[in-house]
Amino acid sequence: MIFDIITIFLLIAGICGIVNRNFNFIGVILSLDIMAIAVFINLVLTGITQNDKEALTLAFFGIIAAALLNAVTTAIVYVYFNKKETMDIAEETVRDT
Amino acid sequence: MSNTIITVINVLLIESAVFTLCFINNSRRILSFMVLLLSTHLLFAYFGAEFFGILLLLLFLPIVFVMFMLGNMTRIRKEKYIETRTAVAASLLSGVFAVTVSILYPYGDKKNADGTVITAPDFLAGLYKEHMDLVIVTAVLAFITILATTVVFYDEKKRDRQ
Repeated sequence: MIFDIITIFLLIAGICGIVNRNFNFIGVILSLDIMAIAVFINLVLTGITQNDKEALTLAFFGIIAAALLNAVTTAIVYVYFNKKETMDIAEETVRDT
Repeated sequence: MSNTIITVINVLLIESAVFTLCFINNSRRILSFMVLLLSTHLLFAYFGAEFFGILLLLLFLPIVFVMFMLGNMTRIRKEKYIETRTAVAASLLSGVFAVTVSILYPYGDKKNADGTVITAPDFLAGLYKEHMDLVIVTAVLAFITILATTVVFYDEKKRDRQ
């Protein structure tokens, strides 16, 4: 029960971070990571407490996929920063287009 | 005792998430995100799944260090700060929420159903036997990611030379 509540809280926090217009790229990526970590917490603890191997397998591959996704996103953000010399999303209005 | 430990871990988890959102300063935000990673590791370790915590740290910490570097690069620019009063209120409210929830719904020492600890060799051996398809897909995904990252940086280097 408690971990469901924590997962929901972390998911809501991540959504708040993504829609916050003051945040730059780093903030948005960290918010996405918070949401991913919330899902991993729920999967791993469900797998452990209910002895569910499938949930653990899903969590394992989910962690790897999230880390790989993060690596590509960070590379893109680095190139974007070198090109534009800013990380503000609000200035570029990426989300509006 | 175990109830106290789990309360502390839950408070750490929730507070570090709130701090990640409250700090507009990039470096501090990334530091609080590291606390989130560490407290997640602590939670997994408490429930007998250190393997997942270590995997999380190994895969996420290098990326977070790169983000820290990027955050320091942008520090010279004008930064926007959230109001101190709002940040303190959010932290206090989330702390009270975490403690209340932990006391109301204690998890206690309910660890594995079997009471065993998940070890990396056993888990990976089972994975290799039962989910070979997923292992292949992950290997391909990792290869594509390395390729994509290399292409992104190579294009950037080429443009710099021109």
